[in-house]
Amino acid sequence: MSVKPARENWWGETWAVFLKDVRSEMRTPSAVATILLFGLVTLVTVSFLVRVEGQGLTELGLIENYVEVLQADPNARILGTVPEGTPTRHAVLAGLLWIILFFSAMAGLPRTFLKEEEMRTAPALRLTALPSAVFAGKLLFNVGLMLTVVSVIFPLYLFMLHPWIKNWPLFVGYLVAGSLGMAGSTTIVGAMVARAGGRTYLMLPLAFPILLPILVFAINGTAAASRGIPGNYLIPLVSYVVAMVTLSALLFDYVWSDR
Amino acid sequence: MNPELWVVAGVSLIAVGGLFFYMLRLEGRVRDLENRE
Amino acid sequence: MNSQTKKPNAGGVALWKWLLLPLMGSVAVLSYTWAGALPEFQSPETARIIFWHVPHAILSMIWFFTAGFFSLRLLKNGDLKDDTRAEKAAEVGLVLTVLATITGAVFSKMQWAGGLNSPWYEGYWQWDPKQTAILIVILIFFAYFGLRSSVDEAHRRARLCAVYAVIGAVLVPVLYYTLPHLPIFSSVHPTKVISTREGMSPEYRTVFWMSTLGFLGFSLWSYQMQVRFAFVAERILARRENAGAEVRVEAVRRPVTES
Repeated sequence: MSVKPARENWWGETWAVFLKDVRSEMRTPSAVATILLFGLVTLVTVSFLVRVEGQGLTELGLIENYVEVLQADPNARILGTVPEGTPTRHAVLAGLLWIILFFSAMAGLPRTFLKEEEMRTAPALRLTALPSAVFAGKLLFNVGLMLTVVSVIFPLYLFMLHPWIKNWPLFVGYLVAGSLGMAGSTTIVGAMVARAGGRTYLMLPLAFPILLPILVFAINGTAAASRGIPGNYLIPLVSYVVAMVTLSALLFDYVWSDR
Repeated sequence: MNPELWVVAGVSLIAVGGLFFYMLRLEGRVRDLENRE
Repeated sequence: MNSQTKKPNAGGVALWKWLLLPLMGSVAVLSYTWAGALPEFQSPETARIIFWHVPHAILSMIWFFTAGFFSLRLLKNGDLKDDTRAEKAAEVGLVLTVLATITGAVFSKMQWAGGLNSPWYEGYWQWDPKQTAILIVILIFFAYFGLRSSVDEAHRRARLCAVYAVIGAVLVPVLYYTLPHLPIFSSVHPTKVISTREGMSPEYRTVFWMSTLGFLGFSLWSYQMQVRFAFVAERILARRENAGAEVRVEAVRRPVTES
């Protein structure tokens, strides 16, 4: 394969950085593997929290109103921690979904930049590509990574946890917006972690406060969407993400470049 | 006025005074350090 | 006092620092005497905590803005002195934020949770949107100091921390003012008490601004002391290192000259 000269236009450069990352990921899938394994392990772990014991699964699967069931039979609670179709279950499952996605994102998203530092390819990238193109390319890659993970984890979540979603379009909207937000607002943090000598333990404390508003909106939003009740968390979520991505794009050069 | 409030006000006054004199001492020490350089 | 020594700063303490004592002293007395109890509060006597709680919250934000300002200046000119200034400003801001959280928790127990009639551990933390926001701010600046302590190279540490501090300084007003006032969240915090004429009685407004001014003075003083101390310590360490280098050079040179 011939080595092509660096492209002149910004979009071309961004796309080249993105494609380079995708190719490298296909060769040694370190980020996808990390993030998927983390997601799976977390998913299975939290499943035990809401699992309905033994025969209770089929018996309680039809229950719409938790309170009435409890009034009729005070012992109903012992059959399962959070019976299906109840508001409690919607809220708990919404929280668990974002816990799964959050922890897998924390494990996988800094890999993009860590890889560059570990393979010692970062100086070459610094010389050949514009910092903003690097940021945009890595951002695209992280978004793609999150969407891949969501497309694997979400079906498993549906099959294993039975969330009983009422408003599908809105639910999927929150899912996509939330994953984009997580990828978008932690891309710069991943770069900082890589530049801080690859100390991966920094990722969680640095990213968590920035992501917490996104998590609050996304958890409330998915809970409302799966219950089918109104509650507009999508606009603040998207505005927050747009603001964070803009801010990161403005500041990225200072993290990335050696001066 | 409630006598308890005077106690609280007195405690606050002592706290403010303590903070002030602590800062004064700090300033003295920093200045000593600067002068000894 | 020998004020005619070689150093120009051998003089006394600035006048405004002396004025803090009568100012804050009168706040301490007036807040319990002149500014009376507020009957519209659940616990009228403890309403005075706003003289401590609100100034801390306002000033913490001002100090985080200061940290953001010095961080931006560092990113522009690369002067490590601005890194120290930003660090110390963030430190003062963090102390004020923790104080605001503690006073706010006491306020929350007294005003929203039935005061001393509730169990001893209850009422301090209610996940009010503003409590969530201040918790996120504390986490942001904890992470900032975590980042500071885990990067060794001074210039890189300065730049990475500056980027994070700028993100933090942008997020603080968003977290304090925008998110809690979104219609989707219901805050128990009163709004527009300070900004409107009808919000506070004249006595309350006077004591409140006196207290804000006093705390501004104390925080400025402690910031100044921290920065001056850090600069002195830096100079002494640098000189000691230079001296050590000279000694080492001498030790290497001596056998050559003697032989």
